[in-house]
Amino acid sequence: MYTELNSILSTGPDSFTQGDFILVSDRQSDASFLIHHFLSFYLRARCKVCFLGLVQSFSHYSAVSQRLGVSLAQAKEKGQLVFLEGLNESLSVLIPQETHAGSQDMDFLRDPAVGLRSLYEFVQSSVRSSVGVEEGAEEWGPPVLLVDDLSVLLSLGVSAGAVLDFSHYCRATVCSQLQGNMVMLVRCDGEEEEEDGDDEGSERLLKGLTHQCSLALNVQGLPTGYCRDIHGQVEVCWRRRQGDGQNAQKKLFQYKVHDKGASFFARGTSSAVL
Amino acid sequence: MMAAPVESVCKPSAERSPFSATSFQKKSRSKLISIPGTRPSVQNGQLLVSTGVTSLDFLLGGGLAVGTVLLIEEDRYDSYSRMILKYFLAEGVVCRHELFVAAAQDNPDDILQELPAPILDDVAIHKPAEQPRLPCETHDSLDSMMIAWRYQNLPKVQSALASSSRFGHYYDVSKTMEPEIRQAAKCHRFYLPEHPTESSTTRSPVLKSYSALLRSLQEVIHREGFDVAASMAPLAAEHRCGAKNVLGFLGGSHIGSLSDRLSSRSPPEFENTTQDISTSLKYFKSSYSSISKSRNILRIGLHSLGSALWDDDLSCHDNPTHRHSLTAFLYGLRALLRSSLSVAVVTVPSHLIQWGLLLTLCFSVTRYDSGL
Amino acid sequence: MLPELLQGVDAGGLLIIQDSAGCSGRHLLKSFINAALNREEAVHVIGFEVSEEELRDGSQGSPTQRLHFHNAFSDPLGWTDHPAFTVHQFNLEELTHLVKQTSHPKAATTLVIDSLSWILRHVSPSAVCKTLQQLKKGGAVRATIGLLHADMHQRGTVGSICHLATSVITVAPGAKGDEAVAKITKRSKSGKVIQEEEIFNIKEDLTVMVQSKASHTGPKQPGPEEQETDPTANLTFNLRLSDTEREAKEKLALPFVFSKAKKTALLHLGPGSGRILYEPDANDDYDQEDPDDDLDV
Repeated sequence: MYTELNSILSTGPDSFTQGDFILVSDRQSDASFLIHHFLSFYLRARCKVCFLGLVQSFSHYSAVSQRLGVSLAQAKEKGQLVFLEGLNESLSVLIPQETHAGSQDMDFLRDPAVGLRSLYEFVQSSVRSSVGVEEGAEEWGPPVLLVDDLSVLLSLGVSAGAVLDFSHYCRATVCSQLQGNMVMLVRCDGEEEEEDGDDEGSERLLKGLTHQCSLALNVQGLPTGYCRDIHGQVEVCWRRRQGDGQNAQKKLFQYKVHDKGASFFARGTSSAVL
Repeated sequence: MMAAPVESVCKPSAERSPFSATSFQKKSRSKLISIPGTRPSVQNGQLLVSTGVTSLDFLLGGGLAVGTVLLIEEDRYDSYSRMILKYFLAEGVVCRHELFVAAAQDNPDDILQELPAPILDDVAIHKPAEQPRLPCETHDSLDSMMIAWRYQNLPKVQSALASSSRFGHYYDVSKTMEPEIRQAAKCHRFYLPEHPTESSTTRSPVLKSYSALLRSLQEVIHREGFDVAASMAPLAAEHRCGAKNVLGFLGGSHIGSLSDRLSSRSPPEFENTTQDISTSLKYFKSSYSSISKSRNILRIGLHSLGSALWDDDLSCHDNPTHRHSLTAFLYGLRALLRSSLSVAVVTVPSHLIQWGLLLTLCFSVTRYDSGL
Repeated sequence: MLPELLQGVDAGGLLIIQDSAGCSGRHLLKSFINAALNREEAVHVIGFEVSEEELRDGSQGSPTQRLHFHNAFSDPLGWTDHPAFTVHQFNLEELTHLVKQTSHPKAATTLVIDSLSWILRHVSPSAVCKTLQQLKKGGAVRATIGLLHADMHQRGTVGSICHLATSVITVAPGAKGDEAVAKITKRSKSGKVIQEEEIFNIKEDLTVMVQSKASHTGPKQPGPEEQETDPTANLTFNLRLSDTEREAKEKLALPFVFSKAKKTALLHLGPGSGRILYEPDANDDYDQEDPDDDLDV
């Protein structure tokens, strides 16, 4: 986890708000470093984590988390981490076998029109199992759902509306009912544009998720182009906070990703500049 | 992402040739097995292979990472994209990698016969004992030199391909590769007309043609031992967001048209670092001893996916019925590549595909901001 | 005009609050609920987007026994076995039934829909419009208030819904942090249309304070809470000046200083023609003689 980001968000593994839906989005950039942050953050906070890793293999996340000081394999063994490796599961659906194989979770690959109900049911079962404490099992904190990422579902044929329904149901279960947290990554390709006729677009998905979330982190490249020392900017948007007015409070930071973490700083105060 | 830890970088060639000019051996921290034709990236330690075009390697940051897919948008007459595909395969032959070629339009054998001839001069002779797969060189007594006798024992110019330890070679496009060289490499073929789509009851979201291709790939990967067990980390992640670098060829213009989209170096992204090469290859060593077969790379070349000959109407209609079939196939391809020592180059006739659809296709398009 | 609307939507009225991702209209919606409760009306809320706790949050003081929350949040699509309220129940019969069940028949009821955008994702816009129109006409509820996320739909959809409304309030972020701008369009029964723009903010007890009519001038002021980070901190070299250093800096004579005469001459331009003012430097060799005199030409 990145300590500077923790101080920006005023959280720490010992004290974080519950019931939050954190939306991480990027535009022509790569915000997955934030997913790694939240994964190691919540594992360190001793939460029960359900991670839908749809775009990379388990070993990839494992290797990166190792650099952040968290072992995914261990967490999985202890039962703290439930990991859905989308790539692996998809092969059994995409290459149809004679014997019925494969779990139901990636059913949306079979028929995208069906929607993500089975994926939600997977989330529900893995998250609710933490409520009942088995004999001798460790007690974990509130459940956390991490999704990397939602945009790949769009490109596999699932409609934006179905993804919004999925995130709604996850929020109702994880955030509201179980008072846990949820972090989802959504990626946008082009510039913000008017999509009057396009119902399937990632823009529509992003807007819908923004309405649902309580904290939004938007990652973009620098408007001036590539820079070796500053990899981009992050806009932090608090949408729901106790006592605040109706407007979202926004703050802009720049960041640099390096070997074992990422550093965040106010605009123009990169250590390369000063 | 790792500032290339120097200790763990090993020389691309592990052979100890008696003809090497120096007896200096770099001391590596851990015993590494290297696969010929690969090298670790200086930026993040990923294992890279050459695409066959050295300037393209440079644009990609040193080479194409193992486990990733390079997606090329075809130019209108499929001349440059086909050339890149052939270079990629030719490089595989020269590096002794295994090949897998799939096409729906031309017979893969025809594609293989058109591979450009490599320009080989300073290829080292290797001891047959170290590389049992090499053709045994029967040497007559070396011509003893009268005047330049000091150079007698140095490597000679080879016309036949032994094995190249270099990374990236040059080719003579005016000549095709000689059959002996080509046949020395192991090639797997997938020609769609030879695979009649069986009617099966199981529904698949991808077209039958694509699922047959995926199945064939999966079989080859498993049978030839390219797969990496789940406990071992695959060596590659993506550049930035995903497996695919999209290079566009606009009507015959060359790679220079990309220069405003690609910078010479990508920022060392955090997620590019999957694993230290040393630790991952350590796992290979343990499996190596058990299988006693050296690891190799599988180079996969897929020609003109998304075209009508693959039974895909993505390029025919503005509103195709199988909109997401190709993306689902690419997702499955990524799954296969992530868990194996293979690398793929895919060409797509994007000029036939409506732009909006293309965007959904390239869900993991890499965009490099030009740093000016 | 905002306070008037808060005081009571006319019978048979449909009020639409439009918002966007940048500025949420839910706070304003809560204010309307509050105002209706204070008027001793029964309020029925069909909540799709937020849970009951979140909606009730902030309205602890007001009488809440007349607030009936119908939970469409936990299972709006019927994915579990016992959905409380699904999106397909959004039609006149079901809603009338719902309202009649829990309300005193004589009390005026207000129906609040949070949000219409959710319904529009699953039910066709024409069906939603029909239901809203029937609610307007029928006697089950006195007034309907709906929240609509304008950036989630096509322009035509938003337009059709707002076409039915008697009043539309579009909320946009204001210049300062907690302020928002409300663009209000109100259609009275006589057909007259009033449009206004007001700046308002919502206090903690959910009362609305209208600041002023919006002025179209003035740039956006930065939020007061933005602290400028001091760039001279955390450096390996010192960029600050101590007092003595500052004094010495000010005392320093600058190398190129004009004499007073030259300064005044430059400041007060002479009448028309330019003048050349030459002040010989220490190194200048000012010799009045004409060097050409030596020439023997």
